[in-house]
Amino acid sequence: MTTDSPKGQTAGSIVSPVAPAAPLNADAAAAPVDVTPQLRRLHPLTPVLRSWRLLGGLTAAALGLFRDQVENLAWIWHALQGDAEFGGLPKAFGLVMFSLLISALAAWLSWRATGFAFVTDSNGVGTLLFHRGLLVRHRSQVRLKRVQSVDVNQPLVPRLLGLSALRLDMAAGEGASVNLAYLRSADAWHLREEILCHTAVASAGTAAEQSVARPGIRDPGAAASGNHAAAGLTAAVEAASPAWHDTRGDELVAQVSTHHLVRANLLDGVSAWLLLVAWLLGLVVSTVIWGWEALLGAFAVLIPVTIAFAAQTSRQIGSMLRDANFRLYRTPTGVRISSGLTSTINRTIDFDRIQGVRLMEPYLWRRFGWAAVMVDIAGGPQDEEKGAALMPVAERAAALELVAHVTGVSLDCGSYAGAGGGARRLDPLGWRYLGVAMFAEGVARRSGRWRRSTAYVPFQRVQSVTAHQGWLQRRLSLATVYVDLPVGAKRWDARHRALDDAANLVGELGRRTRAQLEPADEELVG
Amino acid sequence: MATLRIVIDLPADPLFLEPGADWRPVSPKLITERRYAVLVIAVVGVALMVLGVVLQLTSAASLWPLLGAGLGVEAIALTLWFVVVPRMVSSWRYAERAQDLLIRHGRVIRRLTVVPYGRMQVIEVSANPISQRLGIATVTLVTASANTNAKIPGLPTEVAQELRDRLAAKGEAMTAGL
Repeated sequence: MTTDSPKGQTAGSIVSPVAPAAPLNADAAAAPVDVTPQLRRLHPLTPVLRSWRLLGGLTAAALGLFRDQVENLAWIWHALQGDAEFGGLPKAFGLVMFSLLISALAAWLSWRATGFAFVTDSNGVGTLLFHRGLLVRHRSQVRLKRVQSVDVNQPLVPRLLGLSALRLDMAAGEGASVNLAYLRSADAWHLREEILCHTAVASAGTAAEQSVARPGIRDPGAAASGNHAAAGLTAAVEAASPAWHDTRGDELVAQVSTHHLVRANLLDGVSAWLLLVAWLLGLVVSTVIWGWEALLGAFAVLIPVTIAFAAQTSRQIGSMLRDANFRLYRTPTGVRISSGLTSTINRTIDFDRIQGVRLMEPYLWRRFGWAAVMVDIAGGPQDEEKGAALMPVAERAAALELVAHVTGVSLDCGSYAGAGGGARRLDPLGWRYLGVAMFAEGVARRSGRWRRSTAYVPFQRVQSVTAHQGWLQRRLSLATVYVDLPVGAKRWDARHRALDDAANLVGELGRRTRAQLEPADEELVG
Repeated sequence: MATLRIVIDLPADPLFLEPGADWRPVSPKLITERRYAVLVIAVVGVALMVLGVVLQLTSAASLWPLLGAGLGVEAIALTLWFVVVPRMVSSWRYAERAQDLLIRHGRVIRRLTVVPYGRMQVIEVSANPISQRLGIATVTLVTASANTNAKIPGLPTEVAQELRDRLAAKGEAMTAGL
């Protein structure tokens, strides 16, 4: 195991293989795959990187136990003067060292128990074996065909060390994901391609089947809007500069400049800042008018305001860090996103994994004609309520073309049916902006007085349709129609539809969804 | 307590009770099952009243607050027992159509779920000890969506099993992946 000089290795020799005599392989014989492959290990620095939290926790606990000695820092001075003995220090220090040792040992053992390998059976179907867990052993076998996405992520510290995490998402959601953290970046990219070969073969096969079975479904490669979109996107985009992973042959489609991103983010959060400024102004004015008592009174609300301020700042900084250096590439089966300033994310989104698309237009963006595009991905990360950004900010026309490229639908061309006057009682501000439009392969809804959002869902993804009517809605003969989507996607809703309108919508959604299912039926029979 | 035959008709409704579908109710035994929960509330009410009496006899505490609270709880339990539970149970309907299953529920807050057979991933039949004694079971349809709430409680066990088999057969014929 070469723990030193990871740079010396080439991309070909992936993480050093474990010797056959290693204990890891001894019990791997129990795995259902009869040919036990050599398990590769993660990068040797992994235990260090993964144990820092545990270490931090233990250290904090140790310091907490000897709080008295630590707080009373005067004893250092006394000790240096020779007046006092190092009473608490050795104990605290010893405990810290002990916890360090324990956590390092635990991390090292768990690293030793972690391994992965690729197996290809006689049919050429690839499987990833992933073993982990020291006390409770986990043996996962991931069918590469079922992999929904392969991301290469680099948190800050691993990034400085040239390491990456390779994350495989399954349709089953967060719990089924496999995170190979950490590998050397070159290895991670190499593995990613290896995995994508298996999934791309699989999905290219199904895509061909689908286009035969369902001629109506957009074929990403042949989409008439595809090349056009790429040309149109340059409006929001600067000239492509060759990035280091451009060698992968993916074409750069779009890129967001930093100043555009910063301006868009500030505009998006401007209402929160305005509220804070208003509060400060109110503080000054009330102090001038009523004197210092008013100031003291105002300080009572200082804590919630500070929390709001901190939350807003961290949210904005977080989203700017996440979306900085945003680049969108076209791959043979979908698109690839690369973004991030401190931690970088590389996310591949295949067209056939997209569960829904949303066009977001905050109030102040509309004045500049900007929009953001969000996508919901099966089994994708659910960390943000927004879903994954397909485009953090772009000119509206470019965003629409991107949506068209991804779904084959131009959202502005639909005829949106409004919610009707009854909705006014329940949503006096936004009712005018509610609308539903049917497209050939999906359904879109618009909503939002201030933050306008247009959500599109292909019928192919509809799992079930739910109609819901609350007490007030019943009085007004209204109902809300939901479309239930696979795990990881935001639920689609058409709020406050008139009753027969809602009945039509439910019937139509059901019919179109079944129409999507029928060809598959024939395929099975034929 | 013998199961009361309480059949309360649902109002006609273009959305939640689509005319033309073969809507079927669930077993009235579900009322009995749900009443067990009400029984727990009633027992709490009685306990409150007994506690009030005991406290008054053993100390100088006033009887009325606890007695009042107990009576209030009993009133709630009676309402649930005789009005709410029968009305809620009798609002369940399901309809098997050629290609999808409809489930509707609720009177004040209404819900309709449409599940195409091709989207069903798992069909579960479950019964807790009380429903086992009553001979009823719950059929749950699981799709790839976590939001799908397709559950039919209170089906007689054999009806539930037949429904499960029919749904499984139909689902098999129409399954499509994600």
